[in-house]
Amino acid sequence: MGEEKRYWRDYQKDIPDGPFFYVRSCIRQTFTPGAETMLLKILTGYLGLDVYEDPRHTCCSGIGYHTDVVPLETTMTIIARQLSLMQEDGYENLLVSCVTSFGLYNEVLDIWHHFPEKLEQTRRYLREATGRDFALPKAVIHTSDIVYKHRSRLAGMMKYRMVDRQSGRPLRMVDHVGCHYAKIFPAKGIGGAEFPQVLSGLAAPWGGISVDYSERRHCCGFGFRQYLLKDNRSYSVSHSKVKLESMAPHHPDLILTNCPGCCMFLDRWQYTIAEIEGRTYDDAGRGIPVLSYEELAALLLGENPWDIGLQMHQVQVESLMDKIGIEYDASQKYLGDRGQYIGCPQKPDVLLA
Amino acid sequence: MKDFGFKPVRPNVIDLATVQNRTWTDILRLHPEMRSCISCGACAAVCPNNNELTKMSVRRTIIELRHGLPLTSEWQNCQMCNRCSLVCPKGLNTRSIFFRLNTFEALNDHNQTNAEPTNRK
Amino acid sequence: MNSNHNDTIIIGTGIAGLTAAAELSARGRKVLMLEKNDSTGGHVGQWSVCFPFGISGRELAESILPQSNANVSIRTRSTASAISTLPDGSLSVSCTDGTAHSARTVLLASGYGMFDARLKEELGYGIYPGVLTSEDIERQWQKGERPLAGHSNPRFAIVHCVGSRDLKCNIRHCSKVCCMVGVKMATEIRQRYPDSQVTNYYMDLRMFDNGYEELYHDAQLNYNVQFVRGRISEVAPTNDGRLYIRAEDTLLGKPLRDKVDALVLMIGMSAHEPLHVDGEPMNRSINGFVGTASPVQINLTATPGLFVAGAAKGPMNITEVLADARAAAAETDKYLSR
Repeated sequence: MGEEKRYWRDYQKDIPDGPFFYVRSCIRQTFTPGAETMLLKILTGYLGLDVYEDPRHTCCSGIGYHTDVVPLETTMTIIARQLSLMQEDGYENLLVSCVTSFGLYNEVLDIWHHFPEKLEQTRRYLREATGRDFALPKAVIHTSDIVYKHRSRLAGMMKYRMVDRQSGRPLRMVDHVGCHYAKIFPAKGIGGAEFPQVLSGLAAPWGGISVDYSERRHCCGFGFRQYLLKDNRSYSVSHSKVKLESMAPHHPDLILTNCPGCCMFLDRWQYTIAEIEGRTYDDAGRGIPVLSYEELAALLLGENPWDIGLQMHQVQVESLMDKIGIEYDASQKYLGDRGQYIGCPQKPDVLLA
Repeated sequence: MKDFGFKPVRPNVIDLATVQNRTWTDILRLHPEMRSCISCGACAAVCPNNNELTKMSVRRTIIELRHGLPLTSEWQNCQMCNRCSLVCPKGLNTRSIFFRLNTFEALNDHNQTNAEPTNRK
Repeated sequence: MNSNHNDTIIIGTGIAGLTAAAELSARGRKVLMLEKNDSTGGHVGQWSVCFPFGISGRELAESILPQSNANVSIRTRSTASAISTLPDGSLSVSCTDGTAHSARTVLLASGYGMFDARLKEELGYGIYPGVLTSEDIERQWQKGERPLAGHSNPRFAIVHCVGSRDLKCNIRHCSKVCCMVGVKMATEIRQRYPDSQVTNYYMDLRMFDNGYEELYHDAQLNYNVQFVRGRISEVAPTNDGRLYIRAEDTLLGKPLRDKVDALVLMIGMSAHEPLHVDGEPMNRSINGFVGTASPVQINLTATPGLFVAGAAKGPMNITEVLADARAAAAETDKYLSR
């Protein structure tokens, strides 16, 4: 995937070094809470960035907005409240860890830019509801932008590389960049919408190979209303299937994502497809492990996989860890932070070959 | 195998890379001029069956044959009236296609998957 | 300033400039031609085959103006940068190399630029080696190269309207000739690669001039070129190094996919940045190309003595350019006779 090509270079954005006002991802902290913890550890610990999280901040309402249950005005007011907290805390750079939120923050800022009356209306609503005022952020940055920017620095701190320890073969990675990362505003994403580099650019410095595949730009199937209603889930799983079928011929060792929703669905639907159709997309019948960029970074940095929360994944990641040669204690997989047993999911008939 | 109440569907796409348009090849052997169809729809407009009394469409059938797709139009309803050929600006003998389609389709077993995929169980 | 006795300066040595130069020299006028490139012939000079003439663009350009002509002198690598009116009413053309040339009249025959296909990112030009523009293919063929040599049964997809009728690229106009070029190229490919498959993806086909519709019919009937009404809107690599394309067959209302070895983009014509005349940018017409003085004065600009011919005014095919350049030459001659 040509790093030498022109167009992704055109889509470089200025990524400040902080200080950042951080907003969480609802999906990530619900389904893979360890990933959110690890992301903050990478940002503040490994990279030493000033990242502040205000406990009063809320969901951005993105999922509600995209499923037509939250009106736009409400969404704009909720976002205005986050910005108000940011102003109160003395921050100007908004750091967003969720792709849905990232798209929505940019969309709302764009609406306010083109329709100043909507900005005034939002100011009024927020004042009436909370007595607060807010300022527009200087920059809106996605957390994967930061990891991309510091990819080489992180590579220098990594204990492991994306290489098969036995054979020395670089691991093959396929990426899936969340639609709302750059498809709404190509200039806001590294590499733009058609040739995103934000994830594929991580492979080489971390020792692996990024593989381009036909359906790279296809939606993961998350699709908001497509999975919320059971009647529509067929669409959701079908989209994931299109992607997985396009990835499979390349024999990828892992799928890398930057959107908590994509990560979840490309992972969970592999199980669903295996149950319904008996089909898996790797040679061994275990499925292709799906990691988010922060989970991959934390693994390579040598963090305990069970602290990263990899036991929350549907497709088991042990095979990937064994390939890389990552040391882990299998007996700790289902132990909590104080060593207590946290329970173990029922074993499925599929994906555990 | 589990039942989740939903299942993946086969994408409903024309895949030109893998298309087998054997019936179209047979038609072209008899009527090479059929290649010059421009899908203007004059045939369909005068067809007594076209989407009025039945779901037959001459225009659609020709494109589907060309792409090697399952025939979704009720072409069997052709009454052989020849109005389609009369009005074709390219002078194509469309009636002849429908006259022979039964034979071609039977030979090529073309229509065996004549079902639109559905997203619901 | 060079002293000279030229009657007219022609900016551009494409087929418009060459035709006007041939006409004016036949009428005894002294002509200086300014060409920004190393050689004459313009865009057409690089085409391998011109429809409906069946000869190469180079042959066509050379047949217009014989090599040695006592009345015509040609300066290559001379890029005109501005035009100004002198006190005696004649015009001076300044070039970027610091030279200036004057004459009583100037004929702008500077043609057009080719659309930069990289702007249509979804088509992957400049990213995937199999994606070529119409200009690339014509040049390769002109040079005797054979792209995709060694492929058996190569599949080609030809995309019409790349950089034409595209508000996203701020281009409203239709480039007129690309429909014909796309179909001509399809038949040309079928002749050069007899085992090939060619599919043209069009929004609508505008086969407006003499012979065009016949060309289209011939392409379907005798060359088995497939036509799909729809626009390719995504190109991605396949795992065997080919190109995966997505479009919709809009006549069926069904999504369509293909895997092809080469994707040929019919790139449109773009207007050059307007020259400055007496310190002001020249008037532009609705399509951004050079504007003329009135609906009747189709070769005169708003500046007396400054004429315009050919595709500098907007997309034209070869036949139209030849006629327009002759008209411009006649107008120039009339002006000089006053």
